Amino acid sequence: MALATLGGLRWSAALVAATLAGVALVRRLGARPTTFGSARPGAGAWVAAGVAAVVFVAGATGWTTQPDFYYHWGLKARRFLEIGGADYYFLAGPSAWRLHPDYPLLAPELFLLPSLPGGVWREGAALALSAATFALLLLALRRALREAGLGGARLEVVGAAAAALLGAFWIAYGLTGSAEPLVALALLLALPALMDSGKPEPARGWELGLAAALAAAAKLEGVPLALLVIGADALRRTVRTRALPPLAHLARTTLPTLVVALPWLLLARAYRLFLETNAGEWRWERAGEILPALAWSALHPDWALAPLALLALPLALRHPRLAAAAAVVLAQLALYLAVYFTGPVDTRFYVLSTFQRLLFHLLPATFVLVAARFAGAAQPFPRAPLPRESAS
Amino acid sequence: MRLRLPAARRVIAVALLCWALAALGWAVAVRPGREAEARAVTGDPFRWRRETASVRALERLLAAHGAKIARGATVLVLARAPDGTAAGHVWHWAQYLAPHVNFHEAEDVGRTAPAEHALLWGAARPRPGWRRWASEGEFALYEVRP
Repeated sequence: MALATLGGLRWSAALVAATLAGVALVRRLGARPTTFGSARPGAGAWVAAGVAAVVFVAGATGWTTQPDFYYHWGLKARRFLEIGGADYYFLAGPSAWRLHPDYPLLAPELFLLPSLPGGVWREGAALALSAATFALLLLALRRALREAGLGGARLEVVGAAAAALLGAFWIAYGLTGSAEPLVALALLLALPALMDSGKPEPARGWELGLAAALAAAAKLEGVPLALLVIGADALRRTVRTRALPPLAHLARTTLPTLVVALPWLLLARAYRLFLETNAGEWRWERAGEILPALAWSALHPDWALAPLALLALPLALRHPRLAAAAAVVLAQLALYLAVYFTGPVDTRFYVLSTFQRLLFHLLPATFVLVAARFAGAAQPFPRAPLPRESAS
Repeated sequence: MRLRLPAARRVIAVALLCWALAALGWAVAVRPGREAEARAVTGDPFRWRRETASVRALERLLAAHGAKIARGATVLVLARAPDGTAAGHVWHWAQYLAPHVNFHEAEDVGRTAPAEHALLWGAARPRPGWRRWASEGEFALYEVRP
């Protein structure tokens, strides 16, 4: 849709249908369908399905709407629907600093999709679409757990517990209508490839590339995450094969991100959308405000102590198959902390109002990695052979 | 669920599941009070959960008269609110409800085209020459004459 905006095309249901048809055609010609979990779901899968149903109903009825839906995402979606495309004049306007005009636009584009056919804003449909991403998140979580070596009762218990904890936060904090789930979903989708899943090339490279692109398109925080995912994959391959990754692989992992991020970057720079408050001077003295606020956010009842799993994540760095993914999660966490040290805003309020939901980006993947480290190690990891092209 | 695990791990698994499901139950139980809790903390009288009289009044005003404002017109938002956060919420909610209009606060409007309308909240006073167009509760919509 960003490309359509660049090309001066008005957004419409026909444009979306044509795009989806093109994607379906490419999938049919190329990659094999992705399987999410086993053919016979166990009890944990049914618990997760129940949690997803509760989250969906709560979200679709407006019970768990994130205020940012009205601050940023939904507001932009309504405006874009009105205009028939991304309204960069509005985003560059003098009042738009209140709605983060520099963020990538995938979330508002998704939220306006159900309204495109009639041209009338359907808030309930937008919220339902957002709430449905929780089910996708749980499917990706289950798939990542299986790829990490969990099976049987371990898979069912960890899957059910993770679903309940994530669902609890979604409801208590109110995440419907925000872009956070898309970033979390992107990281989960990248995990199997980062863990050397059994999927062969070129599908594995495309999978990682598309996951990185999803992160980059979802939110500003997703852009460095995409770079970390791509970089960690390249580094992991280089260490393992003692040779630089082949260009074809690099193209597969980086092209999707370039396709979604470059138009956004060019337009955001052309319209001068980047806010001065995004980053500033590093100040160590902010630690006095940051650390208590981090502790308050991580130990808030909304998260039911789940962020403590992050403390176990460094142990995954020593596991050959988990190290790259664990490094990505820890690096992204370090980046969030660095932003708090540099943001020229009210530091305490900044942390208190954001860190709880930023944790949502990282905790689903953290659950997978920690579970794989402690509960999956009993099962041997089938190590996928690298394709011939990478050995050459 | 049949747990084919060693006894110690079975205890951990059951405890983890119970903890997670209890967290989910707690979340469902506390959610309804979250908006009231937020209002009590911030003292913000304008929350968009459709609870306060202010929110209702703005919704009624823009539902009845928002469509009459020309597409792309500039509307100045003047709010005498207890704090800036509440005034910002009015801007957000008005912009959400009438997306075809460009709402601006006084601090923004100097950098854009002159306002054609003004949305006043609470004790905010109209400037000389403005013509009252419509009002609902604490909100009034004015036509600004050059």
